[in-house]
Amino acid sequence: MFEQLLTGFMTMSEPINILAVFMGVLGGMILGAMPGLTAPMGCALLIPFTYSMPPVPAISMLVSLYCGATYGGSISAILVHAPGTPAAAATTFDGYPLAQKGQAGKALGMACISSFIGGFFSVIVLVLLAPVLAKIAIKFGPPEYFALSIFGLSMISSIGSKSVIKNLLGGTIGVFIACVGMDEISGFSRYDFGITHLMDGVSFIPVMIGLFAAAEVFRQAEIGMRKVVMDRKITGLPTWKEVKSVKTTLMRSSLIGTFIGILPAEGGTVASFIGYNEAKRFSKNPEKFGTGVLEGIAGPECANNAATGGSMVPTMALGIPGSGTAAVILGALMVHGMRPGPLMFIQHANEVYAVFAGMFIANIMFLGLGLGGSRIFSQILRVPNYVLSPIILILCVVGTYALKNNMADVWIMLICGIIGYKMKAYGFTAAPIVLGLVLGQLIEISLRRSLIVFENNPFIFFTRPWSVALLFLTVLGLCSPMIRTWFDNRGARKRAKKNGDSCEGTTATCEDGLD
Amino acid sequence: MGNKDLPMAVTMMIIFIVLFGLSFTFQSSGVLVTHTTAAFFPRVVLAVAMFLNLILIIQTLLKGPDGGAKKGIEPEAAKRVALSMVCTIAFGFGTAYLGTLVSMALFIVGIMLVWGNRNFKVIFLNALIAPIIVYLIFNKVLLVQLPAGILL
Repeated sequence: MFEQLLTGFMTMSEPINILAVFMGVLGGMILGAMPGLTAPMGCALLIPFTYSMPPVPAISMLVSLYCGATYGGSISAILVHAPGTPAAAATTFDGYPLAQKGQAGKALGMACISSFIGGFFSVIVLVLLAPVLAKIAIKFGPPEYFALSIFGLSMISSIGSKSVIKNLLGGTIGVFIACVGMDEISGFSRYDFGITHLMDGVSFIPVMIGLFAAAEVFRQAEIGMRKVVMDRKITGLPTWKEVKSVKTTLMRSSLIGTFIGILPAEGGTVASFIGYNEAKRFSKNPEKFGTGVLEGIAGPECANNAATGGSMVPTMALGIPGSGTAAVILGALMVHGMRPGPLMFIQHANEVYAVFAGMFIANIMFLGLGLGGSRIFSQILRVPNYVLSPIILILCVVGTYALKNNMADVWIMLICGIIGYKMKAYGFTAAPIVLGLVLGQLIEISLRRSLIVFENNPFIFFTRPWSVALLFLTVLGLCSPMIRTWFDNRGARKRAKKNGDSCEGTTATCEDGLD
Repeated sequence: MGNKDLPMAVTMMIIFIVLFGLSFTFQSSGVLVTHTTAAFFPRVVLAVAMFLNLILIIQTLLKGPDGGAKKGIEPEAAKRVALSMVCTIAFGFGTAYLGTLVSMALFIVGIMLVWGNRNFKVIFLNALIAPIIVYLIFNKVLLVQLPAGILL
């Protein structure tokens, strides 16, 4: 493993790969800093630029963008109280008050250091855990894969919008979209409506660009012209003593973020809110949270960046996306001829370890860029949305066209953009649909192969240990929002009892898990 | 969730039923007359979707007319969104007929005007610089043959 990682670092030392990581981190930080532009949107828009690249720089650039954007979200969260990405929403609670006290530099510095520690820790876990998981998964047969993909899908119940039913419905719609086109087993076409292009099925990339990027620009159109006024001076960085004072929070949030990231479909947003809540719970001064304490920045920032490496564990080892952005990266891996899953560690070992090495380098790079260039990055906030939005839509159209030099993909992207916008208005989010689309094919193939091999015996899924365990986790995953609500209510009741006042929701909650 | 979800849920239910019905028109091989025909999986997925949608409808009805329905967007904002969509669709057609470069410039002008920008210096500069950069990156660096149309 370590030899392969060393080879990975050697591969990454090539100038083109270093440049790709640098561009990814820089692009991610710029994108993350702009409110309304998210990491999955950035990754979806970047994929067309990587078509002509070899797999290593292409995927390294995407994962670097993911790391950079997750940190970048904190810049606007701290400076203008508008989280650049949903994962940075919890950072506003203490980051913005600290900036208001004239310590914006300290807040940004703490966010950067915490993000680096969380991100770096999670990549170590990724390197150690992903190959082990892949070794276990290689023994999986179709029933286990079916149970695994259903487990991955069940986790969408707790991401996206507040409504569990809408999340599950979104995921089911995604799975249905994956059914369009030629059936892989019988060879007969389904739902092609006589359109030749649909016989190949619906490609991930146009759907992802439409749902994540175009729909978001249409949502921005609701707001109309917006220009951020930013007149805050950025001076000073946190001292070593201050960093040391939050070391326990950093360790805790690294573990939380990585664990949450590893769970299929759970991403940085959930991790950051849990990281914030736990930092507050274990703090000696919980009453000071919300007034600009460093722990309140370190907790969520460390956790959301830890989720980046964590979410890549199931993505790379099992082919089950760990977050919305990981789903986009999974689609990109397929575009570059790498099918994520246990076999990828055998067939594309060099590329996989080079990407791991790229993630280490990306974390080091954004630490340097973040600490040294926070003043420059804050200027990005001055770019008005009416300049940026038409360019994003142009990139959506041109980038989608570049996939197969075909206008049909552009129309699919636009339809998905319009549907995505309308669905958002009704409380649906893009992440469950994309996860359903990515997992749909795997679910169908593994289910039907299981039924064919075991002579249509549906009980086969309940007789194999791994399959049973994964289906049990599926039930647990489906119940997780209810369990979480129960714990939240219980915690709120206890606090209210302790304080002797009414039961108000004091726990920070996540409204949008689109990361 | 309020009653505004009801028309959406009912529309989705109709779509799911139609799609379920369409699955009976799929071809099937005589050899593979088992559960695993081409129509098997879409039917399972649509059945699950209909079940979930039914729960959504029941939830909506139980919440009643004022069950936390969100305020709709202002007519001005809705007009901006609709026009932005129209501009994007027109850009798609324009790319094929007029050419990518010209369409990009026209699209930027259109979107910026729709969004209420009247600073013509900014509009002109954005419409001039952004399309050229995008065109050069895709056409010259990434070697993507963008549609040239009758202009460019």
